[in-house]
Amino acid sequence: MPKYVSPELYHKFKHHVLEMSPAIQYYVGTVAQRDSSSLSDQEIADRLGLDVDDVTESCIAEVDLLPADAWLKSANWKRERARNFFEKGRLRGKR
Amino acid sequence: MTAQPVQETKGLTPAQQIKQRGMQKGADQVGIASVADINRYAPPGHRPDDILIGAKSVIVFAGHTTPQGAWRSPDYRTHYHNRAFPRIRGGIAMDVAKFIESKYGYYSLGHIPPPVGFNPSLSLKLCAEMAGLGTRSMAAAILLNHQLGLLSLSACVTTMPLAADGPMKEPVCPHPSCVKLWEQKKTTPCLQTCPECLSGELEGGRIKWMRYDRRICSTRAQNVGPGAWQNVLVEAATEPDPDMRKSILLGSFTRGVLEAIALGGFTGQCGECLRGCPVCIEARKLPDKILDPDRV
Repeated sequence: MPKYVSPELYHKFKHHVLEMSPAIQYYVGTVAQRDSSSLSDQEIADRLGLDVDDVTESCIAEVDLLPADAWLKSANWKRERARNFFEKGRLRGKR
Repeated sequence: MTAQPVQETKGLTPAQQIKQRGMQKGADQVGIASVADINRYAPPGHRPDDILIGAKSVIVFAGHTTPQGAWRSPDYRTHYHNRAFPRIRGGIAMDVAKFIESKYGYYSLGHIPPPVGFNPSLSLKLCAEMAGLGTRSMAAAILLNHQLGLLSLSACVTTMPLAADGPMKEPVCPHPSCVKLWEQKKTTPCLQTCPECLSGELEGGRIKWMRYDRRICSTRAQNVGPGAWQNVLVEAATEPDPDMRKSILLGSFTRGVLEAIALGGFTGQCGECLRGCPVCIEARKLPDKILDPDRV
């Protein structure tokens, strides 16, 4: 059932939860390693001794811990990347 | 209620008929995964039979994400505004779910529940992998295949036991040219493009390891969407200068965020790691056609 995570609990566990969540994905070959990251909310809750809903709500860290201008910068980054690709002439064919 | 006999279509197995139905409705490729295969990798709570009790198979529909011309625009926004398959993929899955229920009498679903936070209720990438539609790439473990490049996916979960296709035998990534580049410069086009999100190594012509950091990726792939909107709200609410607050809330970026949310077009807004991917470049090429110049 959705709820608001308490600020105390959030600040205590936000980094742990984020690093254990699928926000960080590690693969050996092409097989996902789920020892310390890419865990489900329930798996994180079990390991940290938390309520699963508190873990779920701690997903706000994925937005909260980024710099405020990350989205603005991303738009500019994409504009630049696309422009560079065509300026470098990496697209062959005239059609 | 009396059981009704299934109307057979001559020469086609039920799995073939279901695939044919998906193709007729607009999928470029259809694969079937067994729930048992998916459950070997998916954690409890994120399995097909957590969504549909007794689920046995997942039918996965893949399509060209965009018309190929979308990759030939220097305006990066053209790409995601042309994401055509995502607009129809849910309808294909729903049609096939109803087809299976009416023709074969097995419970089926055409949509999976929405994600909680950023985490999906069921990984469509995993389902597609187990259905033999593609393999994981160095680019954020996105699924690729040689025919479509980047895959756009939807799925139908059903209690009907069907012959599964199983995973592909050979990995699609890395492309031979990436192996060559790695041997010379220890990099690949995707790693060069997005070092903030991607890292990894090749060894013996295969991916040795890779790491994907979704945090920065989400600000690009969902550049104007719910995350950006939540962030803009917090930023504006805590901004002490009223003129700056106005600049944040009335500016073109916030307007773009709202437009994307209102129009439901906030996913798949970045493909920069795949723009220079040789697998994708080959898949994007259109075949040469001979036109009669007098009838153009």
